[in-house]
Amino acid sequence: MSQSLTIPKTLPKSQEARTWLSSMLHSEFAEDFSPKERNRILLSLDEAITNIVDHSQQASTIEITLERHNDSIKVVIVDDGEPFDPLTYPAPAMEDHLQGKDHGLGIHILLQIMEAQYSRSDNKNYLVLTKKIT
Amino acid sequence: MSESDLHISTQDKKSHTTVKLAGQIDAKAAPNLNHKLHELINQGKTNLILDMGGVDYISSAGIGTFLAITKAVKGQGGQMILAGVIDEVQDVFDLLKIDQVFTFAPSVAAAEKKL
Repeated sequence: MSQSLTIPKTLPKSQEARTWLSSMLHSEFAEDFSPKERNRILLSLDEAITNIVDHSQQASTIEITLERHNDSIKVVIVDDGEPFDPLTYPAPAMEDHLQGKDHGLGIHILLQIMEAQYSRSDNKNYLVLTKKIT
Repeated sequence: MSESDLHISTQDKKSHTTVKLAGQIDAKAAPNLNHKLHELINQGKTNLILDMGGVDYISSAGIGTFLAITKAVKGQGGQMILAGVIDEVQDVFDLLKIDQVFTFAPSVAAAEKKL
């Protein structure tokens, strides 16, 4: 199974992507992941997409591909913005939280939930997110 | 109204203000929530109970808003209590291991007893 959605880089469209992903997770992965795990996967994907919408200066579109493998879910998120590797972004410190700062929180959530690989090709960012079915 | 909209209503009591939230606190909703809560703080309402029972989704943008509001009210001697958080939303706080930054109560009534 492989399904794709391409959206323009806007906040309302990122909400539509979340609705689509929620529907896909519910219909295609209901037996593979618990409701809690599905919620976490949805959150992580929302964070990855929102991060591009909020911070990329040059991206115009975001392409999301959801693949079902025997033992895992694989999600590839591609944007045509400037290079950005979320894996190198430092995790926020507790002291930052106490100071009311939230920098990097979304990426921290993403990396807590999913295995992530980043690559750059054809002037695009490729973020490959996987989670094993347990 | 899309399913992502967040409804915000407030009720002033003698000792505090209850802010009832219903919907999803995502990157679109968080800036407006942040603005409304800062408006309350600017009016001197620094004891806030956030009735979270109707919130079924929160992302880092919502958590970020709560971090900023908690700091703002504490800076003025007040406090913010998150009341009635459902399991799916509580899981996000647990995941980030920042639940100790916030004060939680199982219900608005229980939150009122903490003030």
